[in-house]
Amino acid sequence: MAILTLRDALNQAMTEEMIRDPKVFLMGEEVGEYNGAYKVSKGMLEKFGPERVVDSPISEAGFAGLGVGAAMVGLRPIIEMMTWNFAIQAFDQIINHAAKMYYMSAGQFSVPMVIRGPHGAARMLGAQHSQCVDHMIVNIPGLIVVSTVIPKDAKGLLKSSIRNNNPVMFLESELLYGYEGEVPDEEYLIPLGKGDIKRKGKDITLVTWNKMLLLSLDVAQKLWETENIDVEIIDLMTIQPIDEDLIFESVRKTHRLLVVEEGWGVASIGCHIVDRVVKECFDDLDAPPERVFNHFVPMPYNKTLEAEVLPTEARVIQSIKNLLYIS
Amino acid sequence: MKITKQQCIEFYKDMLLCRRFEEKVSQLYVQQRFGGFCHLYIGQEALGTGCLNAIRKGKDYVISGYRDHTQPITLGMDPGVVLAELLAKSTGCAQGKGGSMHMFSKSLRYLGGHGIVGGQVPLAAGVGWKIAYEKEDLVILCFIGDAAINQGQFHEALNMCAIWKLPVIVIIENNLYGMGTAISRTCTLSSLADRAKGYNMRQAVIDGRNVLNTYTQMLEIVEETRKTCQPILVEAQTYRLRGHSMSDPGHYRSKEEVENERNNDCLKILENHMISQKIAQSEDIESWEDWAISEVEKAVEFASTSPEPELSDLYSNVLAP
Amino acid sequence: MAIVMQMPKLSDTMKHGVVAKWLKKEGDKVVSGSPIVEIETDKATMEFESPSTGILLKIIVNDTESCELQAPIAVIGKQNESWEDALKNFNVPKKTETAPLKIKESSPVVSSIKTEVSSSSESQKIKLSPLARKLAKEKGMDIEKIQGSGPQGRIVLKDILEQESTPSEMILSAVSLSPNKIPLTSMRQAIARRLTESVVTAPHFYLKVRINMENILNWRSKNKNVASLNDIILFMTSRALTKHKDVNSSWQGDHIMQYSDVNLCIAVALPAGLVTPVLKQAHLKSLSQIAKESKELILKAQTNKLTSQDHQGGTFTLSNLGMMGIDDFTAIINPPQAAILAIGQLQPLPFFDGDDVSWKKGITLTLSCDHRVIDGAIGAQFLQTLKTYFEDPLSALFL
Repeated sequence: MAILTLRDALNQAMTEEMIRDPKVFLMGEEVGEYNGAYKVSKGMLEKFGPERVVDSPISEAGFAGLGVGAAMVGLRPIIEMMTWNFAIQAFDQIINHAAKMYYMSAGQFSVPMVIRGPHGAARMLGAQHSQCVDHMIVNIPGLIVVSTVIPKDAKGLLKSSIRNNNPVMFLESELLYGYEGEVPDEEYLIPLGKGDIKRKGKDITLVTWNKMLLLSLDVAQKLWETENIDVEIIDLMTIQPIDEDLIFESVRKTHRLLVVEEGWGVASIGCHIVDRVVKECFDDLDAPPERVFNHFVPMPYNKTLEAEVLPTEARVIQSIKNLLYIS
Repeated sequence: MKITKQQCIEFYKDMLLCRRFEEKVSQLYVQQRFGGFCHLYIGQEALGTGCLNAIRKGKDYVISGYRDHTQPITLGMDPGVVLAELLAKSTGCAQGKGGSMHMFSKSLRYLGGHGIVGGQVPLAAGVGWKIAYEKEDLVILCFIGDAAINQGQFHEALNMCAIWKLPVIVIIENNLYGMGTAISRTCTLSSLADRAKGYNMRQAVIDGRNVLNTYTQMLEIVEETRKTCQPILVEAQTYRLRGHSMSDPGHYRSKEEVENERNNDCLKILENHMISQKIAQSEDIESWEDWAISEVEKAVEFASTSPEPELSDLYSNVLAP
Repeated sequence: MAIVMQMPKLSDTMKHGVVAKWLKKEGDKVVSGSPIVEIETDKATMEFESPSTGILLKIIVNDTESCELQAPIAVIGKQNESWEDALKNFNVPKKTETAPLKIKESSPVVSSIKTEVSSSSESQKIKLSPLARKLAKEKGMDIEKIQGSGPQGRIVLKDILEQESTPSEMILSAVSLSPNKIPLTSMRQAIARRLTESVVTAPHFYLKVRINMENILNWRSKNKNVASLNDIILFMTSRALTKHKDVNSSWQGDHIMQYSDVNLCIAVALPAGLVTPVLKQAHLKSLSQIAKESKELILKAQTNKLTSQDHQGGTFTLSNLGMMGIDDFTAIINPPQAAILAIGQLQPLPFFDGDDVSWKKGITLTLSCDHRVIDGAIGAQFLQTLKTYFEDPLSALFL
């Protein structure tokens, strides 16, 4: 197995799929000659030429819509958003067009398209460049939403997303493009809609995704070593649809649920998970479910303040202890 | 460009059918046989008939806004299927899931009526991208209303069509009003096609009232686009004789203006032409009238007796397999 | 219209019922008044009659399953009637009269949890996690006895496990055999609940007295077939209680009830647990009547034939472990009664006459009293009377 960065794993996924299927093309700001704002598409222009690796004008709504139209008539576009903050410009195309087309045409026009890009806060980028929109787009029927940072998962999931016949919103992480992990040498796919237990444990079920997974793994290791607390970590990977059965099964075992999510906590994915668990696992719960999420403020620029806004190790540990009635 | 007598008759029958269809739709709407919004094409038939007969039906692509009841009929859709969609029946062209603003037909390559003003222009660019990507000998017609030219997505899409040389024909159906706002109040250009200038793009202004002119001018534009793979922005001048939608009180324009336009009605123009050119006689006109009315009645019969969608269809077509 | 048959309340302490066995199958003809089902209450298993004539359309609560009182257990109707419709129309009637105290009284594990949790009375509300609630229900634990360790005293998983593991771990360490998990019968649950409730709520104190039985034994040796020693004890006790109504009493929460009738509960040990059938109006009965009736009651108990009538109305309980070789013991009061008499075995006991000690055949009686009803002196006077009756049987006639 090779050790790859997240960036390279994503690059491999796109490259392999573009070799496999000539209908796949990549379009976005700076994906070609610049080799990608975050170098995810490095070398792809050389390999596939400007017809298939396309530098777009800064027109997120425009090229997202172009992707929808192209997908309706049989191409399989990968639309790179330089960040999901910019994709908000394209929400009309994502929500009103991509998500609705298959349904309102009664199945006549599907939209096999991937919109991908970094999601969430990076470091000291301020209020307009540090947002999470995942909880907004999971609430739209007709979209599939993937959110992942582990190189092996990202590759397998992106390949599945490109082959999927629906609009798949693919959320990565700017901070973790250089994050390394083992990636199998042989070809593989990871199914959409399935979560993954990243750490087996018996005391609490911690549900998370994207870069909060890494924070959660660190906390779990620490608590295991210092306090003998055994946390089970579920990496959702696909956040629409959610692998509910995996969560329910785990909660029925541990009797405690914590959701750690980046982003604001009002009507969030965590809210939804808690709602589902309380309904489906009510008699299995030994404590009220806990959530850790961003402070409800726009992201400040200052580094210390920024770190405080995001879920912290201390807040995650506190929530775990609340769940276990340890004061 | 010579238009045959037969073509002329076909255009007339098509426009007449569209007119009688929309009149029936209007009646059914006020009888509350269906709900939602209802935007009629009455007055603009020459534009639709002229443009859509200038393309290769079923091969070239068409996408449109929400004034979309009759364009599919001109392309060849059974009026009953359109009416069934309006009545929200399972036999409708979107099985009752689309409605007045969302007619679709994959086989006719009609990519939909769309309800977000200007939102379909990037989609058209995407279809143009596909045609260019696969080097096909096709074009896409994209109908928009005059007010859509002020939408950001319209500009973004035009720019992309221009830089990537996409065979996209964007047709502004200029009926002078965006809902109740005269276009002159929201755009300083005297010719809306001048919007193309910003993108160094071809442009044209065509007559959308005389179907023979519409057709001949469009035919040239379509073939030129097919050949050069260059986009074009077309302003087609027309007038809608009814309100923006069924709930339009029409205070923004004078009775005289509407009356004046009625005398300049595209159907009358063609009728006069046919009589004067001896293409048809008044008996012919009468018999086509009977034909159109019976077609519409057939449509009403089909749509009325069609079943509603099943509740179990609610969750079908959310995601593609 | 089809009739919904409900779980009957067959004893005054019954809080839920178990269908021991259906005597008819679905589809069978049933006749009003003839037995249709055996119901196991906290005290006995008894036959119950069909409330109407027709076809047993549907059995809702199956053999060995339990349910709350008045819950539907079956539907009886005409051949083609829909049992579903009947059930739909069936509204669980409001609980019928019970002593006011009983409603608030801590009820059995099954229903108590529900009522406690949904109770609007904040002070009584017990907080417990959904998981703890489920486990407590499964294990038949009385949540009122568990101290919650969570926020605001919430009972959580840990508390349930600790409560449960204490005894079973002790057994495990003593014998390294895998323990045998025995599900609780409703009788066992009732015993557990009622006696726990008794110990926790009734302040017990104990009075012991040694009784010289020589005179009684002399009399009995001449009249062997009349009565057993136990019957004589019942007789004497009934007579003593008529004199001490303050002992023949019960605690009713906001008042004390004193009884003129002496209805003696006789504790009978069965393999499945303890039952206490009632010998009614013992004070009016002759020794031979008492002997006859107690024999019948014990036989009924042993063959599971006690009816709800046999359980009702007890005012005082006797528990005799003498025949099992027990010298003396202290018994737990059978609530809401005010006292219970524990009888030890007949054996040579030292009796004092001045400085002289003589060994006579005697028994030790232990009276457990609920101090809310009976003070020490009252209990002592009662025992004194009993002692007099036993040692000088004639006095039972005249004193």
